[in-house]
Amino acid sequence: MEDLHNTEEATFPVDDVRNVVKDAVVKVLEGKAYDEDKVQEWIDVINSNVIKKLCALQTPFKYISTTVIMEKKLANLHCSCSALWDNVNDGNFVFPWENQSLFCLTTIFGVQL
Amino acid sequence: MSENTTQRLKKFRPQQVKDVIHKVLHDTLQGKEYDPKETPAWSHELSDTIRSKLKELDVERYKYCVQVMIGEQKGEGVRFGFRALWDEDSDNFAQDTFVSDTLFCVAVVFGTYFDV
Repeated sequence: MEDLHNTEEATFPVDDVRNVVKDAVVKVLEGKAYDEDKVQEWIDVINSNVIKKLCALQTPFKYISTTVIMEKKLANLHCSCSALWDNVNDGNFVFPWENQSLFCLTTIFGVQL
Repeated sequence: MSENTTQRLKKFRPQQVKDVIHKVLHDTLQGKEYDPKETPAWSHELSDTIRSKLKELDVERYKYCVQVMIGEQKGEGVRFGFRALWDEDSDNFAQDTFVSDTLFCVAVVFGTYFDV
C-alpha cells in the first residue's frame, strides 16, 4: 500500500514511450510494402512489442497501444483522441510513420493506476 | 476499505458504451459526404461528444480514452488493432463503426478502472 502512495507523483514517461514505439514500428515496417494478408500480423507484433517493453519499465501505469495501418492510395484518414482522465499525470503519445506504400499511426495511452 | 468493497460499483459495460458510440456516430455522420476540409473537425467533434456522453453514464472510477478515425472510402486497405496492459477483470473496451459510400468511421473507447 505504501509503495502505491510513493509512486503517485509519477507522470507519463513520454520519452521512454517515444523510444519504445519508434523502435517497434521501424523494426517491423521498414522496407515493407502494404500486404493485406500480413498487415494484421504486423499490427499485432508492433502492439505486443510496445506493451512488453512498456511493461518492463515497471511504471505505475496501465498502457493501451493502438495501431492503424493504411494503404497509400490518395485517400485521407483523420484521427483524433479525447480522454477523460487525470490531465496532469496521464498522457498519450502519437507516432506517425510512413513509407512509399503504407501509412502507420501508433497511439499510446498511459493511465495511472 | 470495507465500505468500498461492500458497495456495488458500476462497471464499464461494453454494450452500453457501444450503444452510446453508435448513437453519436449516426447522429453526426448520417447523410454526410466526405469533405477534406470539414472531416478533421468532425473527428474532433465526435470524440469530444462521445466523451461527454460517457460522463453522463455516471460510471464512477473509470477513466476513458476515446479514439476516432475517419477515412475516405477509396478502396484502400486499412487495418486497426490494439493491445493493452491492464486489469482484465475491470477494464474493457467498446467500439462501433459507421460506413457510408464516401467515408468510414471507427470509434473505440477504452475504459480503465482506478482506485481513489
